[in-house]
Amino acid sequence: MTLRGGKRCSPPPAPAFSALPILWLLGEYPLLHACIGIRSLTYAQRAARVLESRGIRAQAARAPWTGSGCAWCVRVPAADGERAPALLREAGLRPERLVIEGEDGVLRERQL
Amino acid sequence: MIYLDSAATTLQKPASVYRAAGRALRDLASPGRGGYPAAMEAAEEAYRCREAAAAMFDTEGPERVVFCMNATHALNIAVKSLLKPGGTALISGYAHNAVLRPLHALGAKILTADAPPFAPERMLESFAAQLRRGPQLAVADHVSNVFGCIQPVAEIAELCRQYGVPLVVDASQSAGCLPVLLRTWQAAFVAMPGHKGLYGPQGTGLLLCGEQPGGGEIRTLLEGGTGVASRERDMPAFLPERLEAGTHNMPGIAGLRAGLGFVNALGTERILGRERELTRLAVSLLGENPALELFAADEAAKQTGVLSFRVRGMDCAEAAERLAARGLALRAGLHCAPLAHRCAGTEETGTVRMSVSVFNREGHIRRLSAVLASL
Repeated sequence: MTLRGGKRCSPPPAPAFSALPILWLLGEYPLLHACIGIRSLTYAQRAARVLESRGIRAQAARAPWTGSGCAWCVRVPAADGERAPALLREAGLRPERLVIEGEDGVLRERQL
Repeated sequence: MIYLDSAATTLQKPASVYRAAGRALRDLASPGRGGYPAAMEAAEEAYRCREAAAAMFDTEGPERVVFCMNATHALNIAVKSLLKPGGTALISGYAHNAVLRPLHALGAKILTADAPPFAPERMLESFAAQLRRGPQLAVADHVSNVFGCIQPVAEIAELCRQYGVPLVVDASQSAGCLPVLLRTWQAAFVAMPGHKGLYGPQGTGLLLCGEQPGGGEIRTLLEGGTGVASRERDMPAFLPERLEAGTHNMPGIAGLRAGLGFVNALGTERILGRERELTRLAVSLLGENPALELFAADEAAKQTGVLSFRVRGMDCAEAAERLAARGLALRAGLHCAPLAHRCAGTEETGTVRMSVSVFNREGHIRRLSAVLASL
């Protein structure tokens, strides 16, 4: 799977410090992210809040796939992509899909 | 103009509401559609409004707060979801046409719990008697829009639970001045406007969704785009999207969120206290005028900031017109609640209704009293 628009991202040079907090403040997603598909925007917003309360930076967003039309997800740093779905299930939410961006910038689906 | 018709809509809003609605009109796109910042900001605004409402009204989660155009829209969803055509519904004798007309459209058999105004014990007895006749739905108005009488909703809710009858609460006149508690009441739905006691813009309302009888699905009133599962022909099965077809009124929702913030900051006790002070002042001043017949509670605790009266020997509509000519805005007539007038014996004449907000002053009431004395 390629990123939306068919673009691929090259991995950035390793920063001397973590730019992630600044990127989040600027409203930019980290280049390496995971998207957890959620059934609606409202639930994605709730999911983001659940994850934020568990220390994972999260943001509701349009999913980078079309699926059944107008798909929504919660975006988290790729490093948190594996553990975030379990946290959502604990909170009574139902993750429907997990897609993680690799070092080569390609989004790949993972088994939930 | 001195505005005394807040039971229709609160004309004067907090400054934060004007700012929020204006900002939304300028900056917010449609939530649940695009993924760009203006749409996602709109989505965040909407979600925060749901969160604020869920917290204020004892609702399980923001997803169970549905945006509507007004309380009438919300009540139509609730009534038509719970009652099949031709079914039997129990309402109070103070029910608004927003309840009565949807039931009539369903061809429902309507049972009515009657009681004089400001007699909550008798209202409760009447509800109990009618519940024994086996209705499939009960709708209780929390506060009468005509007389401001507070109904014993908590006790009615308990009765409904005992009889296994789903309850809808019309909180049109109570949201913002009395505790409205969806989960505590275990109501199936609570409906309210955003533009009265919540000080939001017109064109807003909320439907709080509780557990449905038998875990049933809520029937939709409107079908259309939701920004979710576009390939599916059916509306989504889950809330709130199931009940929110079409583009949201974001200036309204943003304003409503600011209104909720205003009410939360002041507190409903303080708001009610203020409204009661003004109403009791009106009762005291207008009560000295022998030309007026007031419909007021003997105890302040039984009434909110709504007061109806009649001018002896003058049609209510004419009285209201004369008041308007002197800069006083009040409503006259049956107030879209014909049954309430039957309960109070004012069916033939209707009443003139004064209804205050926190933005009214003692001077407004004194002015009303002075002008009435000169009519």
